[in-house]
Amino acid sequence: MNTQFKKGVLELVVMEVVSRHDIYGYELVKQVCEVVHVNEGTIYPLLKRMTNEEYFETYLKESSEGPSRKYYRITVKGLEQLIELKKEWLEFSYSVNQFFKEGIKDE
Amino acid sequence: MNKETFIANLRSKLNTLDAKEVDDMMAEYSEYIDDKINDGATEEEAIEGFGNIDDLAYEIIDAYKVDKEETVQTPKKETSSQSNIAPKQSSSNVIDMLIEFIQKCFDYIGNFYHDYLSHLTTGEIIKLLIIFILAITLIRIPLALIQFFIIFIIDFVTLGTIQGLVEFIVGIIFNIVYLISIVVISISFYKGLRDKGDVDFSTLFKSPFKYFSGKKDENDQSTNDTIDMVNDTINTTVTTASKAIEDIIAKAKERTANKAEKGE
Repeated sequence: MNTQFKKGVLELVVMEVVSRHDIYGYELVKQVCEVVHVNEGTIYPLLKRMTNEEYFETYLKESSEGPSRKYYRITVKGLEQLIELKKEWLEFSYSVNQFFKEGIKDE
Repeated sequence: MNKETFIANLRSKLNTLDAKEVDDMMAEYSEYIDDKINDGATEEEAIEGFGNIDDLAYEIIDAYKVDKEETVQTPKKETSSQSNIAPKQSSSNVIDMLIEFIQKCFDYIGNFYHDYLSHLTTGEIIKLLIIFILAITLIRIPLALIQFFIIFIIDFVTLGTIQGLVEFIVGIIFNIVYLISIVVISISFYKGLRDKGDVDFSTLFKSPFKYFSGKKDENDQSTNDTIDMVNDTINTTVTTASKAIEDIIAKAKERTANKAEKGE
């Protein structure tokens, strides 16, 4: 898939995944990659940035096996941003899809 | 590549970032690799998932830049809100502004030196100063003569208290004219330095001379000849003078060096 498409939508997908339930890095990357096939390395810088923008907060939680893990949780600010982004995405994808449908009708 | 070399490699590429932040990030990457291995991948595969290490480092630094701007903005917001709560701090704000202004001035002087003067030798800078002082002094002489002449006439025409007042006003006017001419000279110096970067009477003054003598005379050979002549005379005088000063400085340096040697 086009990398420009991916970049735009990646933030939205990451937020959506974190908003469903608190999650640690590896699990998050796995879930995001099922939707958008990106390089695993690109998600961490994004997580870092969004944490610094206060969309996410992190905490450590003991795991059943091995050392404690860093979990991500969405903040109120993050939720607000997610709702806004989702709305934008739906409107945007709808209008693009409509535009393509018109093209098919014309032919 | 194994996990340790990957982490070390990545860390070395992030040395411009805050060490604590990098530690934090590296811990997370290593946790991720461990998780992936637990999930059945080999160490090699887990690391390959990150792709090119240079691209990764670039993206991390890129992401970090955004939050650096954020952290720069947040303290500013705090100070502004503090000053809203406590108006007493406004005086310190004025001082801050003043300090900032002075710093800007120093920055400007530093930049000016770096851009226009740093390629010049000490001799050339001395020459520049001499030309500047010479220009300022020379321009004072005709002004003083005219002022003297006008006051001389006023002495004849007026009497008593009016005389003093008129002389006072004439004095102020002439000082203003002098100040304006100093500003004009400074600007022409600035322009001459900016355009040519050479310490030469002609390059420092030719453009304002041309400007003042009118654009119609641009091809007037006699004006250029006069300028060249004046330039030559001043150049030789100033060069000798600056050389003499340079010699004095060199000798002084030698003396201090000698004294230091003797002291040891």
